[in-house]
Amino acid sequence: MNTVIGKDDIDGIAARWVMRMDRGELGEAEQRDLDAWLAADSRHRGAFIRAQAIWCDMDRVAALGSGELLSAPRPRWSAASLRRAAAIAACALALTLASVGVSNRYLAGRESTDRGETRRLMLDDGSALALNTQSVLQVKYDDDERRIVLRSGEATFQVAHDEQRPFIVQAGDVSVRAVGTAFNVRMKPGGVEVTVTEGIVDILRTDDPGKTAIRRVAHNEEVIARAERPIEVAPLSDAAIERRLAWQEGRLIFDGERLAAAIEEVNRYSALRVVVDDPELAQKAFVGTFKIGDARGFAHAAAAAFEMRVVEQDQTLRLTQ
Amino acid sequence: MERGEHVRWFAREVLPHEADVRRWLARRVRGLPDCHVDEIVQEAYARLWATGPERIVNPRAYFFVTARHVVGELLRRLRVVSIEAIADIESLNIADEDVGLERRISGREEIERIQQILSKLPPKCREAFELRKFAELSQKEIAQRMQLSESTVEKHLVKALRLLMNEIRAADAAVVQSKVKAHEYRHRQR
Repeated sequence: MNTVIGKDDIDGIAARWVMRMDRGELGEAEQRDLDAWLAADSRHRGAFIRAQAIWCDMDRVAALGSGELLSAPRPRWSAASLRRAAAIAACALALTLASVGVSNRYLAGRESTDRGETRRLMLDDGSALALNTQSVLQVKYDDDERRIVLRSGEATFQVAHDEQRPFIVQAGDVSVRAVGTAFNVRMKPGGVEVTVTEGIVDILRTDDPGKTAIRRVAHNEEVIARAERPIEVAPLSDAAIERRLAWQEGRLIFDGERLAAAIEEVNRYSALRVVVDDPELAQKAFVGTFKIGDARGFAHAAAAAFEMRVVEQDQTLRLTQ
Repeated sequence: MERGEHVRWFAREVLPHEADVRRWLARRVRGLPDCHVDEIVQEAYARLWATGPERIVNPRAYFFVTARHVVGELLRRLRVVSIEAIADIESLNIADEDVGLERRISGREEIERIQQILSKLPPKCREAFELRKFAELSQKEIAQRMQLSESTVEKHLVKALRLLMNEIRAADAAVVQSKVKAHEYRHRQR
Protein backbone atom coordinates (compact mmCIF):
# COMPACT_ATOMS: atom_id res chain seq x y z
CA MET A 1 0.00 0.00 0.00
CA ASN A 2 1.30 3.35 -0.97
CA THR A 3 1.52 5.46 2.18
CA VAL A 4 3.72 8.16 0.78
CA ILE A 5 1.77 11.32 0.41
CA GLY A 6 4.20 12.97 -1.89
CA LYS A 7 5.01 16.12 -3.75
CA ASP A 8 1.99 18.13 -4.62
CA ASP A 9 0.38 21.40 -3.73
CA ILE A 10 -1.38 21.81 -0.42
CA ASP A 11 -4.85 21.14 -1.80
CA GLY A 12 -3.64 18.02 -3.57
CA ILE A 13 -2.07 16.63 -0.43
CA ALA A 14 -5.16 17.49 1.60
CA ALA A 15 -7.39 15.75 -0.94
CA ARG A 16 -5.24 12.64 -0.78
CA TRP A 17 -5.39 12.48 2.99
CA VAL A 18 -9.13 12.89 2.99
CA MET A 19 -9.53 10.08 0.48
CA ARG A 20 -7.12 7.88 2.38
CA MET A 21 -9.25 8.36 5.47
CA ASP A 22 -12.37 7.69 3.43
CA ARG A 23 -10.90 4.31 2.50
CA GLY A 24 -10.53 3.19 6.08
CA GLU A 25 -8.74 3.70 9.36
CA LEU A 26 -5.28 5.14 9.00
CA GLY A 27 -2.38 2.96 10.04
CA GLU A 28 -0.19 4.13 12.88
CA ALA A 29 2.53 5.39 10.57
CA GLU A 30 0.01 7.12 8.34
CA GLN A 31 -1.61 8.82 11.28
CA ARG A 32 1.80 10.07 12.38
CA ASP A 33 2.52 11.40 8.90
CA LEU A 34 -0.81 13.16 8.77
CA ASP A 35 -0.37 14.68 12.21
CA ALA A 36 3.07 15.92 11.28
CA TRP A 37 1.81 17.43 8.07
CA LEU A 38 -1.06 19.15 9.85
CA ALA A 39 1.21 20.44 12.60
CA ALA A 40 3.68 21.90 10.09
CA ASP A 41 1.55 24.75 8.84
CA SER A 42 -1.83 26.23 9.61
CA ARG A 43 -2.51 26.39 5.89
CA HIS A 44 -2.27 22.61 5.82
CA ARG A 45 -4.90 22.40 8.53
CA GLY A 46 -7.07 24.88 6.66
CA ALA A 47 -6.78 23.00 3.37
CA PHE A 48 -7.49 19.71 5.12
CA ILE A 49 -10.66 20.88 6.83
CA ARG A 50 -11.77 22.55 3.62
CA ALA A 51 -11.27 19.31 1.67
CA GLN A 52 -13.22 17.38 4.29
CA ALA A 53 -16.03 19.92 4.26
CA ILE A 54 -16.28 19.80 0.46
CA TRP A 55 -16.32 16.01 0.50
CA CYS A 56 -18.98 16.00 3.18
CA ASP A 57 -21.02 18.60 1.31
CA MET A 58 -21.35 16.17 -1.58
CA ASP A 59 -23.55 14.04 0.67
CA ARG A 60 -26.01 16.89 0.79
CA VAL A 61 -25.83 17.34 -2.97
CA ALA A 62 -26.32 13.61 -3.41
CA ALA A 63 -29.42 13.76 -1.26
CA LEU A 64 -30.94 16.56 -3.25
CA GLY A 65 -30.10 14.89 -6.52
CA SER A 66 -31.68 11.66 -5.31
CA GLY A 67 -30.54 9.74 -8.34
CA GLU A 68 -30.75 12.49 -10.91
CA LEU A 69 -27.03 12.98 -10.85
CA LEU A 70 -26.19 9.47 -11.84
CA SER A 71 -24.86 9.48 -15.36
CA ALA A 72 -25.33 5.75 -15.89
CA PRO A 73 -28.75 4.14 -16.45
CA ARG A 74 -30.57 3.88 -13.17
CA PRO A 75 -31.42 0.16 -12.97
CA ARG A 76 -27.76 -0.55 -12.47
CA TRP A 77 -28.00 0.92 -9.02
CA SER A 78 -31.02 -0.94 -7.76
CA ALA A 79 -28.94 -2.89 -5.29
CA ALA A 80 -27.33 0.35 -4.34
CA SER A 81 -30.61 2.06 -3.64
CA LEU A 82 -31.49 -0.72 -1.26
CA ARG A 83 -28.22 -0.05 0.39
CA ARG A 84 -29.16 3.56 0.48
CA ALA A 85 -32.37 2.82 2.29
CA ALA A 86 -30.44 0.72 4.73
CA ALA A 87 -28.00 3.56 5.11
CA ILE A 88 -30.80 5.95 5.98
CA ALA A 89 -32.07 3.61 8.65
CA ALA A 90 -28.60 3.09 10.02
CA CYS A 91 -28.08 6.80 9.94
CA ALA A 92 -31.13 7.46 12.07
CA LEU A 93 -29.88 4.97 14.60
CA ALA A 94 -26.31 6.08 14.76
CA LEU A 95 -25.68 9.60 13.65
CA THR A 96 -22.40 9.56 15.45
CA LEU A 97 -21.03 7.04 13.01
CA ALA A 98 -20.94 10.10 10.79
CA SER A 99 -18.91 10.80 7.69
CA VAL A 100 -20.48 7.95 5.73
CA GLY A 101 -24.19 7.63 5.21
CA VAL A 102 -25.23 10.98 6.62
CA SER A 103 -26.32 12.32 3.27
CA ASN A 104 -29.99 12.34 4.04
CA ARG A 105 -29.67 14.59 6.99
CA TYR A 106 -28.56 17.31 4.63
CA LEU A 107 -31.24 17.96 2.18
CA ALA A 108 -31.36 20.61 -0.44
CA GLY A 109 -31.75 24.15 0.78
CA ARG A 110 -31.82 23.17 4.40
CA GLU A 111 -31.46 26.03 6.84
CA SER A 112 -31.31 25.80 10.57
CA THR A 113 -30.66 27.88 13.65
CA ASP A 114 -29.31 26.99 17.04
CA ARG A 115 -30.77 28.02 20.35
CA GLY A 116 -30.73 31.80 20.66
CA GLU A 117 -29.85 32.31 17.02
CA THR A 118 -31.98 34.10 14.47
CA ARG A 119 -31.16 34.39 10.83
CA ARG A 120 -32.39 36.27 7.81
CA LEU A 121 -32.18 34.79 4.37
CA MET A 122 -32.85 36.19 0.95
CA LEU A 123 -34.24 33.75 -1.54
CA ASP A 124 -33.66 33.76 -5.27
CA ASP A 125 -37.05 35.20 -6.12
CA GLY A 126 -36.63 38.19 -3.83
CA SER A 127 -38.63 36.72 -1.00
CA ALA A 128 -37.07 37.04 2.41
CA LEU A 129 -37.37 34.96 5.49
CA ALA A 130 -36.29 35.19 9.07
CA LEU A 131 -35.67 32.03 11.00
CA ASN A 132 -36.18 32.12 14.74
CA THR A 133 -34.37 30.14 17.43
CA GLN A 134 -33.97 26.36 17.10
CA SER A 135 -35.70 26.11 13.78
CA VAL A 136 -35.18 24.00 10.71
CA LEU A 137 -36.62 24.58 7.28
CA GLN A 138 -35.98 23.51 3.77
CA VAL A 139 -36.31 25.59 0.63
CA LYS A 140 -37.68 23.68 -2.33
CA TYR A 141 -38.16 25.95 -5.30
CA ASP A 142 -39.08 24.74 -8.71
CA ASP A 143 -40.79 26.06 -11.84
CA ASP A 144 -44.32 25.55 -10.58
CA GLU A 145 -44.15 26.49 -6.95
CA ARG A 146 -41.99 27.90 -4.24
CA ARG A 147 -42.26 25.47 -1.39
CA ILE A 148 -40.80 25.87 2.07
CA VAL A 149 -40.98 22.99 4.49
CA LEU A 150 -40.81 24.16 8.08
CA ARG A 151 -39.55 21.15 10.01
CA SER A 152 -39.52 22.75 13.41
CA GLY A 153 -39.52 26.11 15.13
CA GLU A 154 -40.67 29.41 13.71
CA ALA A 155 -40.13 31.59 10.67
CA THR A 156 -41.48 34.78 9.14
CA PHE A 157 -41.90 35.10 5.41
CA GLN A 158 -41.98 38.20 3.23
CA VAL A 159 -43.18 36.85 -0.06
CA ALA A 160 -42.27 38.37 -3.42
CA HIS A 161 -45.25 38.55 -5.74
CA ASP A 162 -45.34 35.86 -8.41
CA GLU A 163 -48.71 34.58 -9.53
CA GLN A 164 -47.16 31.87 -11.66
CA ARG A 165 -45.41 30.28 -8.73
CA PRO A 166 -47.39 30.23 -5.51
CA PHE A 167 -45.45 30.36 -2.29
CA ILE A 168 -46.34 27.51 0.03
CA VAL A 169 -45.15 26.93 3.55
CA GLN A 170 -45.71 23.45 4.82
CA ALA A 171 -45.64 22.98 8.59
CA GLY A 172 -46.59 19.54 9.77
CA ASP A 173 -50.02 18.78 8.38
CA VAL A 174 -50.76 22.40 7.55
CA SER A 175 -50.01 24.27 4.34
CA VAL A 176 -50.02 28.05 4.11
CA ARG A 177 -50.32 29.36 0.60
CA ALA A 178 -49.61 32.94 -0.41
CA VAL A 179 -49.04 34.91 -3.55
CA GLY A 180 -47.53 38.13 -2.24
CA THR A 181 -47.83 38.71 1.46
CA ALA A 182 -46.11 38.44 4.82
CA PHE A 183 -46.77 35.98 7.57
CA ASN A 184 -45.25 34.08 10.46
CA VAL A 185 -45.51 30.35 11.07
CA ARG A 186 -44.65 28.76 14.37
CA MET A 187 -44.75 25.07 15.16
CA LYS A 188 -45.81 24.63 18.75
CA PRO A 189 -46.21 21.38 20.62
CA GLY A 190 -50.00 21.79 20.46
CA GLY A 191 -50.27 22.77 16.80
CA VAL A 192 -49.27 25.22 14.11
CA GLU A 193 -49.80 28.94 14.66
CA VAL A 194 -50.01 31.26 11.66
CA THR A 195 -49.96 35.03 12.01
CA VAL A 196 -50.70 37.14 8.94
CA THR A 197 -49.07 40.56 8.96
CA GLU A 198 -49.81 41.60 5.40
CA GLY A 199 -52.16 40.43 2.65
CA ILE A 200 -54.06 37.18 2.59
CA VAL A 201 -53.09 33.53 2.83
CA ASP A 202 -54.96 30.29 2.35
CA ILE A 203 -54.54 27.56 4.89
CA LEU A 204 -55.27 23.94 4.30
CA ARG A 205 -54.48 20.54 5.62
CA THR A 206 -52.03 18.51 3.64
CA ASP A 207 -54.20 15.43 4.15
CA ASP A 208 -57.12 17.22 2.51
CA PRO A 209 -56.48 16.89 -1.22
CA GLY A 210 -60.02 17.96 -2.06
CA LYS A 211 -59.29 21.25 -0.33
CA THR A 212 -62.67 21.14 1.36
CA ALA A 213 -61.51 22.81 4.53
CA ILE A 214 -59.52 25.65 3.01
CA ARG A 215 -59.48 28.73 5.22
CA ARG A 216 -58.74 32.20 3.95
CA VAL A 217 -56.95 34.30 6.53
CA ALA A 218 -56.27 38.03 6.34
CA HIS A 219 -54.16 40.60 8.10
CA ASN A 220 -54.83 40.85 11.82
CA GLU A 221 -56.04 37.32 12.07
CA GLU A 222 -54.34 34.36 13.58
CA VAL A 223 -54.80 30.72 12.95
CA ILE A 224 -54.27 27.85 15.25
CA ALA A 225 -54.29 24.48 13.61
CA ARG A 226 -54.29 21.72 16.17
CA ALA A 227 -53.99 18.14 15.13
CA GLU A 228 -57.34 16.40 14.64
CA ARG A 229 -59.28 19.62 15.20
CA PRO A 230 -60.77 22.11 12.77
CA ILE A 231 -58.62 25.11 11.93
CA GLU A 232 -59.46 28.02 14.23
CA VAL A 233 -59.27 31.63 13.19
CA ALA A 234 -59.24 34.46 15.73
CA PRO A 235 -58.78 38.23 15.46
CA LEU A 236 -55.42 39.60 16.49
CA SER A 237 -54.55 43.22 17.34
CA ASP A 238 -51.62 45.10 15.82
CA ALA A 239 -50.02 45.27 19.24
CA ALA A 240 -50.29 41.52 19.63
CA ILE A 241 -48.74 40.99 16.21
CA GLU A 242 -45.90 43.32 17.10
CA ARG A 243 -45.29 41.42 20.30
CA ARG A 244 -45.33 38.16 18.50
CA LEU A 245 -42.78 39.25 15.92
CA ALA A 246 -40.52 41.20 18.27
CA TRP A 247 -37.97 38.40 18.07
CA GLN A 248 -36.92 39.77 14.73
CA GLU A 249 -35.63 42.85 16.51
CA GLY A 250 -34.02 40.69 19.14
CA ARG A 251 -36.63 41.47 21.76
CA LEU A 252 -39.27 39.63 23.70
CA ILE A 253 -42.35 41.54 24.77
CA PHE A 254 -44.75 40.30 27.42
CA ASP A 255 -48.00 42.02 28.12
CA GLY A 256 -49.99 40.15 30.68
CA GLU A 257 -48.89 36.64 29.76
CA ARG A 258 -48.64 34.13 32.57
CA LEU A 259 -45.18 33.94 34.07
CA ALA A 260 -44.94 30.28 33.09
CA ALA A 261 -45.62 31.13 29.45
CA ALA A 262 -43.12 33.99 29.54
CA ILE A 263 -40.49 31.68 30.98
CA GLU A 264 -41.14 29.14 28.30
CA GLU A 265 -40.62 31.85 25.71
CA VAL A 266 -37.38 33.10 27.31
CA ASN A 267 -36.04 29.56 27.52
CA ARG A 268 -36.46 29.04 23.80
CA TYR A 269 -33.52 31.32 23.25
CA SER A 270 -31.21 30.52 26.11
CA ALA A 271 -29.01 27.67 27.22
CA LEU A 272 -29.44 29.03 30.73
CA ARG A 273 -32.92 27.94 31.77
CA VAL A 274 -35.31 29.82 33.99
CA VAL A 275 -37.37 27.63 36.30
CA VAL A 276 -40.24 28.43 38.65
CA ASP A 277 -41.55 25.70 40.93
CA ASP A 278 -44.35 27.48 42.73
CA PRO A 279 -47.51 26.86 40.65
CA GLU A 280 -49.23 29.93 42.08
CA LEU A 281 -46.36 32.19 40.97
CA ALA A 282 -46.33 30.54 37.59
CA GLN A 283 -49.87 31.79 37.00
CA LYS A 284 -49.13 35.46 37.72
CA ALA A 285 -49.54 37.90 34.86
CA PHE A 286 -46.31 39.37 33.66
CA VAL A 287 -45.36 42.54 31.76
CA GLY A 288 -41.99 43.51 30.36
CA THR A 289 -39.59 43.81 27.43
CA PHE A 290 -36.37 41.81 27.29
CA LYS A 291 -33.44 41.24 25.08
CA ILE A 292 -33.50 37.82 23.50
CA GLY A 293 -31.04 35.45 25.11
CA ASP A 294 -30.84 37.45 28.34
CA ALA A 295 -32.36 34.84 30.64
CA ARG A 296 -30.51 36.23 33.62
CA GLY A 297 -31.91 39.73 33.09
CA PHE A 298 -35.36 38.26 32.77
CA ALA A 299 -35.03 36.14 35.91
CA HIS A 300 -33.90 39.07 38.01
CA ALA A 301 -36.65 41.32 36.69
CA ALA A 302 -39.27 38.67 37.43
CA ALA A 303 -37.80 38.12 40.87
CA ALA A 304 -37.97 41.84 41.59
CA ALA A 305 -41.57 42.02 40.36
CA PHE A 306 -42.82 39.17 42.52
CA GLU A 307 -40.47 39.51 45.47
CA MET A 308 -38.57 36.36 44.79
CA ARG A 309 -34.93 35.36 44.72
CA VAL A 310 -32.90 33.93 41.88
CA VAL A 311 -30.82 30.89 42.71
CA GLU A 312 -28.34 30.16 39.96
CA GLN A 313 -27.00 26.67 39.78
CA ASP A 314 -25.52 24.71 36.89
CA GLN A 315 -27.48 25.91 33.90
CA THR A 316 -30.65 26.92 35.72
CA LEU A 317 -31.97 30.13 37.22
CA ARG A 318 -34.50 29.08 39.83
CA LEU A 319 -37.07 31.60 41.02
CA THR A 320 -37.90 30.95 44.67
CA GLN A 321 -39.53 32.76 47.54
CA MET B 1 -18.54 18.78 19.20
CA GLU B 2 -17.53 15.47 17.73
CA ARG B 3 -15.22 15.76 14.71
CA GLY B 4 -17.59 14.48 12.05
CA GLU B 5 -20.24 16.87 13.26
CA HIS B 6 -17.74 19.71 13.22
CA VAL B 7 -16.90 18.92 9.60
CA ARG B 8 -20.60 18.91 8.70
CA TRP B 9 -20.99 22.22 10.44
CA PHE B 10 -18.22 23.57 8.20
CA ALA B 11 -19.89 22.16 5.11
CA ARG B 12 -23.18 23.73 6.09
CA GLU B 13 -22.17 27.04 7.62
CA VAL B 14 -18.78 28.02 6.21
CA LEU B 15 -18.37 26.47 2.79
CA PRO B 16 -21.35 28.26 1.19
CA HIS B 17 -19.67 31.61 1.85
CA GLU B 18 -16.26 30.78 0.50
CA ALA B 19 -16.89 32.08 -3.00
CA ASP B 20 -18.07 35.42 -1.61
CA VAL B 21 -15.12 35.70 0.73
CA ARG B 22 -12.79 34.98 -2.18
CA ARG B 23 -14.43 37.62 -4.32
CA TRP B 24 -14.22 40.09 -1.50
CA LEU B 25 -10.58 39.23 -0.84
CA ALA B 26 -9.63 39.40 -4.48
CA ARG B 27 -10.82 42.95 -4.76
CA ARG B 28 -8.68 43.91 -1.78
CA VAL B 29 -5.43 42.09 -2.25
CA ARG B 30 -5.08 42.40 -5.98
CA GLY B 31 -1.64 43.72 -6.76
CA LEU B 32 -0.32 43.34 -3.25
CA PRO B 33 2.82 41.23 -3.14
CA ASP B 34 2.61 37.73 -1.69
CA CYS B 35 -1.04 37.88 -0.85
CA HIS B 36 -2.53 34.77 -2.31
CA VAL B 37 -6.23 34.35 -1.88
CA ASP B 38 -5.82 30.58 -1.60
CA GLU B 39 -3.47 30.87 1.31
CA ILE B 40 -5.58 33.43 3.08
CA VAL B 41 -8.61 31.19 2.72
CA GLN B 42 -6.67 28.19 4.04
CA GLU B 43 -5.47 30.20 6.99
CA ALA B 44 -9.00 31.42 7.66
CA TYR B 45 -10.31 27.85 7.59
CA ALA B 46 -7.67 26.79 10.10
CA ARG B 47 -8.66 29.61 12.43
CA LEU B 48 -12.37 29.01 12.12
CA TRP B 49 -11.73 25.36 12.91
CA ALA B 50 -9.66 26.25 15.95
CA THR B 51 -12.29 28.66 17.21
CA GLY B 52 -15.00 26.05 17.08
CA PRO B 53 -18.66 26.35 16.15
CA GLU B 54 -19.83 27.01 19.68
CA ARG B 55 -18.21 30.41 19.63
CA ILE B 56 -19.22 31.43 16.14
CA VAL B 57 -22.67 32.92 16.07
CA ASN B 58 -22.63 34.28 12.54
CA PRO B 59 -20.29 32.09 10.48
CA ARG B 60 -20.51 34.27 7.41
CA ALA B 61 -19.47 37.44 9.21
CA TYR B 62 -16.85 35.54 11.17
CA PHE B 63 -15.37 34.16 7.98
CA PHE B 64 -15.10 37.65 6.48
CA VAL B 65 -13.59 39.16 9.60
CA THR B 66 -11.10 36.33 9.97
CA ALA B 67 -10.02 36.70 6.36
CA ARG B 68 -9.53 40.40 6.95
CA HIS B 69 -7.37 39.73 9.99
CA VAL B 70 -5.24 37.31 8.04
CA VAL B 71 -4.65 39.90 5.33
CA GLY B 72 -3.74 42.51 7.92
CA GLU B 73 -1.24 40.20 9.56
CA LEU B 74 0.26 39.17 6.25
CA LEU B 75 0.82 42.77 5.32
CA ARG B 76 2.41 43.58 8.63
CA ARG B 77 4.69 40.58 8.38
CA LEU B 78 5.78 41.44 4.89
CA ARG B 79 6.87 44.93 5.95
CA VAL B 80 7.03 45.90 2.36
CA VAL B 81 3.72 47.53 2.07
CA SER B 82 3.29 51.18 2.69
CA ILE B 83 1.59 52.32 5.85
CA GLU B 84 -1.29 53.50 3.74
CA ALA B 85 -2.00 50.03 2.48
CA ILE B 86 -2.09 48.71 6.01
CA ALA B 87 -4.29 51.52 7.16
CA ASP B 88 -6.51 50.79 4.23
CA ILE B 89 -6.83 47.16 5.22
CA GLU B 90 -7.37 48.01 8.86
CA SER B 91 -10.16 50.36 8.04
CA LEU B 92 -11.83 48.00 5.62
CA ASN B 93 -15.43 48.04 6.36
CA ILE B 94 -17.15 44.88 5.61
CA ALA B 95 -20.14 46.33 3.95
CA ASP B 96 -23.52 44.96 4.82
CA GLU B 97 -23.93 43.62 1.35
CA ASP B 98 -20.86 41.47 1.85
CA VAL B 99 -21.84 40.00 5.15
CA GLY B 100 -25.55 40.15 5.39
CA LEU B 101 -26.91 38.99 2.13
CA GLU B 102 -26.88 35.30 1.62
CA ARG B 103 -27.75 34.17 -1.79
CA ARG B 104 -28.89 30.61 -1.92
CA ILE B 105 -29.10 28.81 -5.16
CA SER B 106 -31.96 26.45 -5.64
CA GLY B 107 -31.55 22.72 -5.49
CA ARG B 108 -31.94 22.37 -9.22
CA GLU B 109 -29.29 24.97 -9.99
CA GLU B 110 -26.96 23.25 -7.63
CA ILE B 111 -27.51 19.87 -9.24
CA GLU B 112 -26.82 21.43 -12.61
CA ARG B 113 -23.66 23.01 -11.32
CA ILE B 114 -22.38 19.75 -9.86
CA GLN B 115 -23.33 17.87 -13.00
CA GLN B 116 -21.34 20.32 -15.02
CA ILE B 117 -18.34 19.92 -12.77
CA LEU B 118 -18.56 16.13 -12.84
CA SER B 119 -18.78 16.11 -16.62
CA LYS B 120 -15.20 17.34 -16.68
CA LEU B 121 -13.99 14.14 -15.08
CA PRO B 122 -12.79 11.15 -17.08
CA PRO B 123 -15.51 8.45 -17.20
CA LYS B 124 -13.87 5.99 -14.78
CA CYS B 125 -13.16 8.72 -12.34
CA ARG B 126 -16.71 9.98 -12.48
CA GLU B 127 -18.10 6.49 -12.07
CA ALA B 128 -15.98 5.91 -8.98
CA PHE B 129 -17.14 9.19 -7.51
CA GLU B 130 -20.80 8.49 -8.19
CA LEU B 131 -20.59 5.01 -6.75
CA ARG B 132 -18.96 6.39 -3.64
CA LYS B 133 -21.17 9.40 -3.05
CA PHE B 134 -24.49 8.64 -4.68
CA ALA B 135 -24.64 4.87 -4.41
CA GLU B 136 -22.78 4.94 -1.11
CA LEU B 137 -20.49 2.05 -1.83
CA SER B 138 -17.22 1.83 0.05
CA GLN B 139 -13.95 2.23 -1.78
CA LYS B 140 -13.43 -1.49 -1.43
CA GLU B 141 -16.80 -2.30 -2.96
CA ILE B 142 -16.14 0.11 -5.80
CA ALA B 143 -12.83 -1.60 -6.48
CA GLN B 144 -14.61 -4.94 -6.74
CA ARG B 145 -17.36 -3.63 -8.94
CA MET B 146 -15.10 -1.72 -11.29
CA GLN B 147 -12.42 -4.39 -11.17
CA LEU B 148 -9.75 -1.96 -10.17
CA SER B 149 -7.27 -1.96 -7.34
CA GLU B 150 -8.28 -0.06 -4.23
CA SER B 151 -5.45 2.38 -4.67
CA THR B 152 -6.65 3.17 -8.19
CA VAL B 153 -10.12 3.85 -6.85
CA GLU B 154 -8.60 6.12 -4.24
CA LYS B 155 -6.68 7.98 -6.94
CA HIS B 156 -9.86 8.48 -8.96
CA LEU B 157 -11.62 9.87 -5.93
CA VAL B 158 -8.71 12.17 -5.11
CA LYS B 159 -9.00 13.53 -8.60
CA ALA B 160 -12.72 14.14 -8.22
CA LEU B 161 -12.31 15.85 -4.87
CA ARG B 162 -9.47 17.91 -6.24
CA LEU B 163 -11.67 19.07 -9.08
CA LEU B 164 -14.45 20.05 -6.69
CA MET B 165 -11.98 21.98 -4.55
CA ASN B 166 -10.75 23.83 -7.61
CA GLU B 167 -14.23 24.59 -8.86
CA ILE B 168 -15.24 26.30 -5.65
CA ARG B 169 -12.11 28.32 -5.96
CA ALA B 170 -12.95 29.16 -9.54
CA ALA B 171 -16.30 30.50 -8.46
CA ASP B 172 -14.51 33.82 -8.21
CA ALA B 173 -14.12 33.62 -11.95
CA ALA B 174 -13.37 37.27 -12.47
CA VAL B 175 -10.32 36.98 -10.32
CA VAL B 176 -6.99 36.30 -11.84
CA GLN B 177 -5.17 34.34 -9.20
CA SER B 178 -1.98 32.57 -10.04
CA LYS B 179 -2.20 29.09 -8.69
CA VAL B 180 0.38 28.32 -6.10
CA LYS B 181 2.31 25.30 -7.24
CA ALA B 182 4.31 22.98 -5.09
CA HIS B 183 7.65 24.33 -6.09
CA GLU B 184 6.70 27.90 -5.52
CA TYR B 185 4.84 27.78 -2.28
CA ARG B 186 6.95 29.69 0.03
CA HIS B 187 7.53 28.76 3.58
CA ARG B 188 6.22 31.48 5.68
CA GLN B 189 8.36 33.09 8.27
CA ARG B 190 6.92 33.08 11.71
